[in-house]
Amino acid sequence: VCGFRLRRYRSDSTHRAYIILNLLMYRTMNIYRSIHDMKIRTTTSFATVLKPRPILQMVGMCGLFVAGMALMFMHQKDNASIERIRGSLQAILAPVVGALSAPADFMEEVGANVRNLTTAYAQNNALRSENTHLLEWQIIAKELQQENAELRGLLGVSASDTAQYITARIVSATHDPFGHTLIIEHNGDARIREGMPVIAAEGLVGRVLESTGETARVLLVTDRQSRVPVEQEATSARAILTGLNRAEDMMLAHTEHAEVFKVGDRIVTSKSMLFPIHFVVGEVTSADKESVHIRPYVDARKLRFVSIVVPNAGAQATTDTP
Amino acid sequence: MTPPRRIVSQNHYASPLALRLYPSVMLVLLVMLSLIHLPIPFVSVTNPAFAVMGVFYFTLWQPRYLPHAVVFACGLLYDAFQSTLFGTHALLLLGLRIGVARLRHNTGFIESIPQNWGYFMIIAVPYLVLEWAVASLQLHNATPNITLIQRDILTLALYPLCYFGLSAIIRKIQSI
Repeated sequence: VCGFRLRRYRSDSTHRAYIILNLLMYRTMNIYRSIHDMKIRTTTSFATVLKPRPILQMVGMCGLFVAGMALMFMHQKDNASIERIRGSLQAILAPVVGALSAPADFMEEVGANVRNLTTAYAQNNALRSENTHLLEWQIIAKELQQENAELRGLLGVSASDTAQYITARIVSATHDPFGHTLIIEHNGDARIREGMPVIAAEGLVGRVLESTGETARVLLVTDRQSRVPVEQEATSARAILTGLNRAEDMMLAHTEHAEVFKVGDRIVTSKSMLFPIHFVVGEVTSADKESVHIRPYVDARKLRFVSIVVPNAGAQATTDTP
Repeated sequence: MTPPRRIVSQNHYASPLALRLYPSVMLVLLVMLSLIHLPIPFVSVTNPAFAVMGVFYFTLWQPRYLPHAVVFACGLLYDAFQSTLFGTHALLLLGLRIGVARLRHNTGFIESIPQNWGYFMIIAVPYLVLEWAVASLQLHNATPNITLIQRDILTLALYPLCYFGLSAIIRKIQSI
């Protein structure tokens, strides 16, 4: 390696000495090579001349590490400026991510159309039957509406709107193993606050985590950090819904009566100031004494628009009218 | 029949600026790609870690075209949309960049796809484990879930495709 050639000597000790010398020289050459690669060159007078570029690179790299650690530390301490930086970055990137997701959305739409075409006949039949069923329900709903109005008239109770709904467009959806969040773009309504429910046609999507300008971050109910007070629709048995960072599976914690939860039961949110009405969340897929698993009705990966529920200031938590 | 053009050509006279900018721009795009829902079978469950693939590939190809500051900034962009602490992925990607640069110092650019893929696995597996460990510490949850495993497998499995795509673009730029 170093220009020395191993030769077979008669004496074993001489041979061993040559091997050691070769290894030493190899080691020295390696050290020399690494010094040379770092652009530190030795002169004949043994004075070292350091090139500024690698030193600057090293300083810059250390600076970046320190900056990263500082950012993490500040975020850990809930520094407001970090949230502002995050919010600004989200606001800047939202249109870019939106533009990038346009081709993906188009492809998805094309795929869905092709799927629909192939199943059009079966779908048509299913829709006809569903339509007949819904028409029956429409008659019942009208009767109930009339009856409700009459009873309200008798009791002297006036129906009031409990919440307003702000439509928002989904800009980005993170379905990462470490978190399930959405970035949504709304009309910049100043009433949007942290904790407000976000819903879709199928049910509850999540809650607003933070809102900056016209963008807001939504923590999905499927996120592991999400906690939503819920109850069983039929018996009103209460529990806390927690996500598992899986799109199609959630779990109930702190169940009052675990034995009342049966497979197929609908789970709705408990009424509170933030949840002025019962929003449907999902249905029980498995239930035993140890755990109750829920499948969410909403698949946030397929959504494009959501509604933010802004409870009215004077809304009563007990009213049922949306 | 002419052999395929090597992407490690030292003479990038044709489009030096495009080649210089390409890794940084593509890395930003890869980070953005991680944030959008891709309607691809299996991938729609969770997006693979495109940024990890990008940092590995470009650092191995031409580390000087992918400055540390760009990798750090891309990590911050990614962090803006994550639940982990702001700066986590910036530091992790920076660490990956340094690790891969060290590998390149010893091996140079590896054009053989199986070898390149093998080295990617050697580097990416500890990175993904470290990422999980850091995120678990921050989120107070140390259970690896099925989505995480799916994402990691997808990341490792889709690297050759990423390699083909990124190399094809380099060849295209070089041919301009």
